[in-house]
Amino acid sequence: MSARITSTLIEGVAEGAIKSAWLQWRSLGARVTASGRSRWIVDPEALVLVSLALRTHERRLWDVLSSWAMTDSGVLSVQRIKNLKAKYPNRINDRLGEFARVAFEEGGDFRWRNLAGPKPAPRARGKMLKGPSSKGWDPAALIVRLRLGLGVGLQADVLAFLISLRGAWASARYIADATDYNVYAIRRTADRMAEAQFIESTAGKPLEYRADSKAWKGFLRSGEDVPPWRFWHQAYAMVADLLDQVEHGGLEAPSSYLLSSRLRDLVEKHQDALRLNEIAYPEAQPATGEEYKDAFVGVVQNLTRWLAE
Amino acid sequence: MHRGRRGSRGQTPATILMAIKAVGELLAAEGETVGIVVVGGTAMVLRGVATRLTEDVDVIATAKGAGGGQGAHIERADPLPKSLLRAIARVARDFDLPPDWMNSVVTAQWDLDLPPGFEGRIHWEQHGGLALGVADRVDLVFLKLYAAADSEGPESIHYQDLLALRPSQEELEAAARWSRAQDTSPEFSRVLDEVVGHVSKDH
Repeated sequence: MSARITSTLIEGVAEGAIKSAWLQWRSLGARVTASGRSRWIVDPEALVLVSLALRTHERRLWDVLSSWAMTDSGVLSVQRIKNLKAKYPNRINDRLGEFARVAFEEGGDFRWRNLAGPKPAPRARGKMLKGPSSKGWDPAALIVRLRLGLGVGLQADVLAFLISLRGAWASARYIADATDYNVYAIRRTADRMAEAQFIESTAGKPLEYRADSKAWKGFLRSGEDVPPWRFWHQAYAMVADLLDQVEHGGLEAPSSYLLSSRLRDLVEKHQDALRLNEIAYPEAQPATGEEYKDAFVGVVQNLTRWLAE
Repeated sequence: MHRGRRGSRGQTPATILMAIKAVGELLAAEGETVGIVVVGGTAMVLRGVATRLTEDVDVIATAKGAGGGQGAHIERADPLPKSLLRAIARVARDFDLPPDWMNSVVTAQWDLDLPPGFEGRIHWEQHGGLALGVADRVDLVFLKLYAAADSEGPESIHYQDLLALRPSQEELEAAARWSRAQDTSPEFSRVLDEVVGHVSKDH
C-alpha cells in the first residue's frame, strides 16, 4: 500500500521560510512590505539560495533577488555561494545561474560570469527594490555591513559570527559550521585577526576565538545588541530539499516502510541543520522501521516552529 | 545518527520478520530479485517450531535462476549479492539492528556437506524482491545436531533448539549418521553420542 507525507505539512515549512526570507530581506534594507525584521543575523548567501528555492511559491521574491543581482551583488561572496549550492537541490543551481546572469550582464559584476547560466532569467517587475542601506543599519545585516567595510571574505564573516556569540569562545570547527569555509583557512585568518587584536585567541589548546562584542558594538555605533546567530545555510538547505522532494515525488513511496526509510535519509542528510540549530529530532530515542514516518512529521513541525520564532 | 545497538540481546521474531520483509521491499524498489536460504533460529521461527529471540538471520545459500525461488538451484552464499548487502545495511539502520543481522557465516557448511536432499525440501516464500527459502524441519534437525555436538554439547542453544524441533528417533539416527560423516574425530563422536543420548532422554 503506497504511503505519502501530506503536502500541507511541507506547505507549513514553505510559509515559514517565506516569512523568514521577507524579514531578512527587509533587514538587509530591501524595500519590501514585510512587517517586523529579522531577530537573527542574516546569512546573505543562504538567503539568496532559499529565495531561489521559494521563487515558485512566492514570485515576488524574484523581484528582490533580481534587484539585488543588478545593484548589490557586490556584497555577496561568489566563492561561498558556489560552496553552499552543492548542498541545495540541483534545480536551485539552475536558478542560481539565472541570478548570476543578471548580476553579470545587468549588474556588471564580472565575478558572477562563471556561474551565469545559459537561460535568460525570468522577467522581474521593473521596480528597483534596493539593497543594503546606509541609513540606519539593521543589526541583523551585520555580515553585509562588515563586508562593505572589510571586503567580502573570511575576515568579515568570521568577525560577524564571533560578534554574534556575545563574548562566547568558538573553535575553528564551529566557525566553519557557521560560515562553511575551510577549517584551516579559518584558523589562518582568525590567527591573523587575533594578532591584529580584532579578536582574541586562547593561543593554546583548545584553540578558540572570541570577539569583544561590547567593544564592537561601540565601534559599529549600534544602539542595539547584535542579534544571535542561526545556522541558516543548513536550515535553508533542508527547507529547499523538502520543497524539492515534494515536487519530485520524494515524499511518497510504494510502502510505509520505504517512505520511512527515505525520510530517514532526508533527516540524516540534514542533521547538521537540526543539531546546530537545536531543532529536536529523533536521535536518542530512535524510531524504527515504519515508526520513522511519524517521527519525521514531528521533525518537520519542529522546523516549522523554529522558522516562526 | 548513531543509536544504541541491541547487539547480542537478540531480536524478537516480529522484528526479524519485519526486517526480512523490509529487505524484500527495498530489493523490489531497486528492481532486484534475490533468492536466499535461511537456517538456524530464524528458520525455526519461520517454520513455527520456535518463538525465541534470535541473534541473526543465517543465510546458508543463495538461489539462482527461476526468479531465485522455487525451481532455482542453490549455491554458496559467499559473497552475498551487492543489492542484498545494500538492503541489509539499510534495514540495519532503519530497525536499529546490528550491521551483520543477516549474514552468511553459516555458508561455510558448504565446505563439508549439506543434509542429503536439502535443496528439494526448501520452503519458499516471496517477500517483494526477496525469495526466501526456509530449510525444512528435518534439515534443521541435521544441522542443529551437528552444531550442538560441535559446540558445548547439551549446554548449547543448539541443543535447546534441537529439543524444540522434537526429532523422531529415526530422524535423530539419520542426523547422527550424517553428522559423524562431517567430523570423523573420536572426540566429536563422543560428544555426538552424548547429545543424542540426552535428546532421546529429554524429549
